[in-house]
Amino acid sequence: MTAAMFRAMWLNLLNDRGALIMAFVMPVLFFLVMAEIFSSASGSQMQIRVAFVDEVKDDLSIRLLDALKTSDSIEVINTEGFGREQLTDLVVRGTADVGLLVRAEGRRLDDAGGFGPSPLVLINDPSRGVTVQMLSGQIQQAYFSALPDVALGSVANVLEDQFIEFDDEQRADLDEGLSEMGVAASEGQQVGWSVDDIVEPQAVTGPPMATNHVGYYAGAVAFMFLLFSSMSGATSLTEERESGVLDRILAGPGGMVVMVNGKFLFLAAQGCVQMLLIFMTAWVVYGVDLPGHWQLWSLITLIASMAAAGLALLVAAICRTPAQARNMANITVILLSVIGGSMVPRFFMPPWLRELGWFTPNTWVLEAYSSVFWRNQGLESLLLPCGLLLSLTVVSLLGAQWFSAYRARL
Amino acid sequence: MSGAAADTPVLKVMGAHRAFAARQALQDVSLSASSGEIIALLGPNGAGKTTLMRAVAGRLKLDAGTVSVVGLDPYIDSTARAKLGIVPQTIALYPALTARQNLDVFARLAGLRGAAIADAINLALDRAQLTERAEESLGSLSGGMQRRLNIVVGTLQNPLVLLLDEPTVGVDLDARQTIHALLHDLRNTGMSILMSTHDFEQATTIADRVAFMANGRLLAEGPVASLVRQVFGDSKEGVVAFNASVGQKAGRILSDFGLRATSDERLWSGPVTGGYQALDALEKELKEAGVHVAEIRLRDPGLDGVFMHLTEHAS
Repeated sequence: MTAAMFRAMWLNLLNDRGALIMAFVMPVLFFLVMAEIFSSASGSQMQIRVAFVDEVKDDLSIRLLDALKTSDSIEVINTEGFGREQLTDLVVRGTADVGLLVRAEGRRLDDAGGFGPSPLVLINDPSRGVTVQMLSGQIQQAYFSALPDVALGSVANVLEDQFIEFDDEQRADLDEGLSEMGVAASEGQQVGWSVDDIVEPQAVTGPPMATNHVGYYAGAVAFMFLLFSSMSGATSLTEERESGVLDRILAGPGGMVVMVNGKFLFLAAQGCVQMLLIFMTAWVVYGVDLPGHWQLWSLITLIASMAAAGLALLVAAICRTPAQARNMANITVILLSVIGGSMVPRFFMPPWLRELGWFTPNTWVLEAYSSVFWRNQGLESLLLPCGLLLSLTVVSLLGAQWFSAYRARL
Repeated sequence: MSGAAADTPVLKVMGAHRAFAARQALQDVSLSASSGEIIALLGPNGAGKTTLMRAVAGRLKLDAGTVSVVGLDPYIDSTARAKLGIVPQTIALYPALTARQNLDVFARLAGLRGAAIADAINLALDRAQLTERAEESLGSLSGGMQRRLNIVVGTLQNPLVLLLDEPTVGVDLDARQTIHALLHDLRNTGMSILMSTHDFEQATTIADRVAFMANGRLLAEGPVASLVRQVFGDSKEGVVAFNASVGQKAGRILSDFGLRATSDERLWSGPVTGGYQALDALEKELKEAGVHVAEIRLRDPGLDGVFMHLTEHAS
């Protein structure tokens, strides 16, 4: 009879094209959008839109801006004939993320340690403050790689001012060397240096970072939709109570346990299919290594689907009417997803909110998937998250059965 | 067919009491039903009909008294519940499923297995005259068809007792007659049908026995003709209608004549002995009292008259 309830849920879904699309197509589309956003935001593809205005137009400023304009991380906004007011306007209107002004009243670019206004101004919108940090990094990079003679000359000037006085011969050799370096840099030769020369990034494990983020988002989006569709399916508990279907079922030999268990099995199975579709998309489109982790993935997915199904049934069983159940379901899913890291990665959150995340199933599901896909860890790393999720499943399912029976007796 | 002997009640309610907080929903209700009979539970809202039906369905624990279906308590015994078919007032089916899919799902939920499922589905479709529409979704069926499907779903496991709550609410006259025919067919298979309704005419048409309930009490029960005879004897029922509520004096004249006001204060009725002569005398007396009568007539007494008489005596 549990199978009969499963069958009722399955036929209901199969006959309702809208529900089918919501259950299996929408999550994949949503995942693709989120993955595209976050894989580019965390990888090398991220670009900021920069508008440049050069009021100086000397050899140094032209070399610096030319170097910046060739960067893959910068999308250049056309500022032909623009002054500083139009530059500011571009930022205010959001056409540019940040504006770079080489101002006329500033010091020269080769007078880094001198007095007076700085030569470069970054005009920015505080709501996009991170773009200032990103452009500053790009300027440092360009300063050392495209203007190595200026950078080195500035260092020499500081040395001479504070530590050592060059004699005329030394000074002449230095000037000649810097001049040759400047010419070579202008011709595009690699004579400069950058922080990259002293830094070697090393990922802890696994594939490139962008793919890791897709793996994270596959789990995050999948579990959020799992909660949504489970809650939606579980609402049928209250609908059937109201329509009288429950009266029929309770009159039968199965009773309430059969009804709740049948729904639980169906929702868990539906959740596994949803997870599979999203992770297969992540594998095919973004190269997330699903085949390499299929066994642990299957374990996490099964337990996560059961936890979502149990929780959804508990929420529905507590509510008195379908409308109440729908509202409660939406609020619950959004709250859990926001706090648990399904919408925004938890490392972006303030510490107290990050701690609160441990009270949501989303966090434990993401922790489990991250252990496997991000950190390449084994079964032992899943004991805690999967144990907690299983406990949630058992408690929720028992609670759903108790509340359903209680409501039916009223 | 029922396995119970025709004269042995398949359903027996004895001294049922149930209270919700201070409100007595059932007070010493006793009722029995044998196989192959239709019993109509009549009464206003809040009379206790639904509470009695829920108790019979095993959904409600009685404070005192017993309910038994073939000797077993449906509240604690699933075997007893398996002998019951439930037909709620609402269309208790899955709207996205076809007629056949609905029957299939509920047959399985009722515990049927294997070939018994297909047999039960085909029989139900045939009874509901929906064989040709079996593959259509519930939403594409008319209101009457949905009602018939709603009823036959309750009969899939061939129950001994069918509990029906307002089976013809919201259907047109044709659909109503088809449903009445369906209920007669089910009764003829030996099924016992306990049906709650507000509709006196429906009860008169299809019920073998009626049971009147008010304020949680069973006021009277028996065959329609017998109940009418108990109240009216050989009398006819006199009905007097006014354009407005009558005053004290006219009320006294009508009461002395044996008539009682209905819930609509402008309509009075009751047993009248002496036929039209007596009625003429009443009309004359009212006229002398200055009361204008809109309509006065005699009719064969019905269940509504019985109900008025019973509720007046009960209060």
